[in-house]
Amino acid sequence: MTGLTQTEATTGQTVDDVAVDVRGLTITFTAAGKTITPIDGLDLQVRRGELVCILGPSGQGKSTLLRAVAGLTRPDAGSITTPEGAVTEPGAERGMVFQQDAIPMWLRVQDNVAFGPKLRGVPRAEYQPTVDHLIEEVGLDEWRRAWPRQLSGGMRKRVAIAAVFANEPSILLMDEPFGALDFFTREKLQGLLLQLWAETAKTVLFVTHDVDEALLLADRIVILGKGRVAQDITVPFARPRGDDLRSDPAAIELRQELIGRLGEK
Amino acid sequence: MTILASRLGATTEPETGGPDRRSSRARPGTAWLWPLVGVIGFVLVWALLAALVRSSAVLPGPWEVAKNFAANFNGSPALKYLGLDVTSYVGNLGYTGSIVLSGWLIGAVIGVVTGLASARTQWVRNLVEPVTTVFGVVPILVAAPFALVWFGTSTTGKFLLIVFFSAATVLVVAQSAALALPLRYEEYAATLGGGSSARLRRVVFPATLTTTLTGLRAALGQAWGLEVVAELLGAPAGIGRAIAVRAGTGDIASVIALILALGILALLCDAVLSLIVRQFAQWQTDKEPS
Repeated sequence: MTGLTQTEATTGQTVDDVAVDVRGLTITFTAAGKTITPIDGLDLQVRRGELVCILGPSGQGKSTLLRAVAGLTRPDAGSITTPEGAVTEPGAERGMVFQQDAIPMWLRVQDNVAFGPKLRGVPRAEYQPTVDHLIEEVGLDEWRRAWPRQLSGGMRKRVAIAAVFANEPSILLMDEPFGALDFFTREKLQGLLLQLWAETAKTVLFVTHDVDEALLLADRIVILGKGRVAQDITVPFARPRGDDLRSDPAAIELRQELIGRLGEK
Repeated sequence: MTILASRLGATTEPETGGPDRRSSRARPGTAWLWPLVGVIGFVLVWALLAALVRSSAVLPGPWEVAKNFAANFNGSPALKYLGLDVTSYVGNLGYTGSIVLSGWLIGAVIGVVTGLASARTQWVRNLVEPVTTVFGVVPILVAAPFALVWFGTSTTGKFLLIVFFSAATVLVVAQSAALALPLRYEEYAATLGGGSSARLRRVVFPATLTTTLTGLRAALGQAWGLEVVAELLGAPAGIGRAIAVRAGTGDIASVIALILALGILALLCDAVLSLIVRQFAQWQTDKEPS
């Protein structure tokens, strides 16, 4: 079994199932006098509660796509729609974890996790139980009053994950969040993400260039090429997926095929 | 096209990473020792020189200057005779201090608001940049006579001058700090649902606060200098005016007493501001957890 079969994501779902609907998306940049089009007429539908990994080498428009869904980059053509309506600007229903640290360095851990609700003027009584629960869940209870500068890179990522979950978005956008971390920290955070995802059933769009990470996390893997979806693959392995995935013949075969596809880009 | 890039010139580069370990090297218990040694050393050298000169008309000793200050603190007949509206040292300190602090404070508010606004809005930046660029390089010794020509010796002229130069100094610092703030902080806040004003209040303002406060310290130091020079050139009262008239009568002890009093007052104000800066800079300076 190769697993490299096109899903019916674009055809076999009702409107109510769709959390993110990208149609004909085109984004063009001009840099150093040259015009580049990392996204060129891209179509993609993501179902509610689905964890989709966008996989590919650098420069294929993965982050651009994610930023467009976040409302941070304006499309030149096409549309992005969520159940809340057309995406025209950033919104709390689409939380994002950035590749680089973006949590406010001037806020203590506990204030960072509560940052979203505070920004939106949510009364403290409403968000504090969730914030306390998440701080505990990501293992930072003893570091509540620490400044981000005093934490390791992995701990800062845990703050970022707790903060975005505390804001209770329906869609979670993650732009290579674990890319700069060591192997063991990355494994722990992948586990933490899967745990929180299982508890909250959020829709997740996860950008990565790591095939193993995609195989561990994703319901579907989307490979971008020439500005469009080149491959849309349903990951056939049951959850929870653990270390045995590395030695599973079907997983090894799929990994090799994915690497081969990525090498063609 | 980046939507939040309307904050002009915003960088996407990461800030310099790595914890600041300066505070962990410092020994807080001995931080006061060297300044104290410096002050005592200065007073000793001064006393030694005064003893060698043996003329209080040329160089009065520290004790003589202290006595002069105490005698004239609440009232000075000489200042009254010499035509000052305010005739005590403390009154003149208050006169100068009130103009400096009020002018600096108003200028600071204008500077912070305009600086942050100009970092985010092109037309505000276009509007203020030529003014700050041109007048920002004008030395105090040139600005003070200008105020004298326009406003005479009135308090209003000096006050406005301090407001303007404080605002210009703080504006440049606040604008630079806001432009240097990596854009991703604002983008992050936007994806959490923070609107434009919430991002300004909860991201741009706190992120630039410590740098801006450092600019405020510089502006305050400049304001003291500007006010005293303006008073030296002409004023109904103030420490600068008192120094000028005392220097005119050759009363060196009074001149030194007034200069030291002015210096100590400015130092105290700076110390208070420094404490405030330290309070807001904890996130940058707290030492590593053990």
